[in-house]
Amino acid sequence: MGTEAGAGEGAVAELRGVAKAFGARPALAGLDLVVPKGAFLALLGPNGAGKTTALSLLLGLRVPDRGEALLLGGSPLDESIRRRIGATPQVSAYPSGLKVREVVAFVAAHYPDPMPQAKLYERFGLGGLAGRQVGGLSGGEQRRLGAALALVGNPEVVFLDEPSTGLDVEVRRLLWDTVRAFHEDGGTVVLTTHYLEEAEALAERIAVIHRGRLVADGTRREITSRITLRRVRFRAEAVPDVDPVSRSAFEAGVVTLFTPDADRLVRRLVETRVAFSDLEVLPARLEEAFVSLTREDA
Amino acid sequence: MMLALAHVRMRLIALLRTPAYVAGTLAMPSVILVFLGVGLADTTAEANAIMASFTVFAVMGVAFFQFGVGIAEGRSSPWSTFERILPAPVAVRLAGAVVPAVLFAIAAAGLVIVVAHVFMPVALGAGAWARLGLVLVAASVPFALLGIAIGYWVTFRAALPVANIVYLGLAFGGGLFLSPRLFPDMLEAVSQCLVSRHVAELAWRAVADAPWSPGAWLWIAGYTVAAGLLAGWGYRRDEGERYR
Repeated sequence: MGTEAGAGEGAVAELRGVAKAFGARPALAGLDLVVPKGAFLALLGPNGAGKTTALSLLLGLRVPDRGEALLLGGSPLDESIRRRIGATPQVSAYPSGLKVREVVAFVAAHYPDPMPQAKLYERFGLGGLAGRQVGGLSGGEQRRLGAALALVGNPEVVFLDEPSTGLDVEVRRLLWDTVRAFHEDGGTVVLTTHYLEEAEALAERIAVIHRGRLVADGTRREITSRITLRRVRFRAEAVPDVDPVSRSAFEAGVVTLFTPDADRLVRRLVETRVAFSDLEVLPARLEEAFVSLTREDA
Repeated sequence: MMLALAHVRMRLIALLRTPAYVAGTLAMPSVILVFLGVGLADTTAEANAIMASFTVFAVMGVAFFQFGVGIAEGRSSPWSTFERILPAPVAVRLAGAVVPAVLFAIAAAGLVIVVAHVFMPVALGAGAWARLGLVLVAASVPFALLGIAIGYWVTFRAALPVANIVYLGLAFGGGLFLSPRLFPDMLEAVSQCLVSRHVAELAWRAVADAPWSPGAWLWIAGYTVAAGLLAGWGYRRDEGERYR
């Protein structure tokens, strides 16, 4: 897959077998990733999976130890290439003492054809905030400003880092609509997040990173169906012999079974006529779901 | 060009909205001059030398705090990471760091000169002004590099106190507050090894219309190279260590 997609013209961002270690600690161990033109990709993974490192290679903040990072067919270190992309700063990263208007003007000055400020404020609901000091903005306002800064240069590709976590429903909707509109106009979006909900709500394609490797890559539907691991928990004498189970645990009389299909598992459980009580079906935490994905691929 | 202006503007606004920085770098040299220096100037020659000392002190302060503390602050802030993503040539980034520093240095030294004229019998010819100016420009390079080295080797929390200690130590030890004629032998021996002492010697000779000794320039060149290496090493070490 790597060769044909890599050779294809449509890739706007690409990692080819990149490895990056910090001291003795490997962050990426041979990661391949292709982002085609016009894609809406979510890079999903638990904290410490290597998402941020992968992103920093694509943005030219770091250079891979091994492999290659390509942005719009060129090097991410090339300014003329970076003039065609946009990215969000980390939350609460803003320099104190500066006003929203000043920060927006500063970032906009880097691009040949920036969005007019008035239009930007309207799109991101920043209307009344232009004269406010960035240090005094709420978390939600900072996130909206972050997304606005990523898009102010009218980029071809935009990299968003957890753009909507912690936002209330209304603001989140506004932000999502803006990002979707950018994508519908032909823009490519790369979203990094460790929230499945965020990836599910926005992205068309989801790439899952775990321990520095790509463990799954597919359409939103493919990935979410694989990630819907459930926990089935009940009291019993021992772990009954049922399927499908990807992992089981038994502790203090409580059986926990991780399963991709809770309905079928419960039906089987009833059929075995094993005595059980306090049955619960719970969603698996994302970390557990990732572990199951990794195992399937191993 | 417009982009360089945007960078300079942004830095200047940020600095000007930090009252502690403005007070520390712009006002402090003039205030210390009024309290420490003015009373010692009986003759024009003494007044000229004291003014020269405090212009060196002013330039040194800007170089230390703007570069030293500024870099340490930048290292601890994710905003500087974001700025590195923005498409700006190295020259623009450099201008954004250097131009505000030059403007602050001119303002701080200018304030010292104004205060000196108000309170002391100073009188300099055009040649002396030009030579003093040259010394200040040349001296700002090793001071800025020392500041950068502090910025990369010291954490943000420690940067301000460390820069203060080095700054005041170099100023006092270099004879900027108190003429080295009054130094005991041991302090004089230490003073002879400080870059600030050699800058001061050049500045004093400039305002006295006396010839420079090449030895002082050699000391400054040596300090520039050493501070440059230390700063470069710190930069590389920092780039390798920082990750998230």
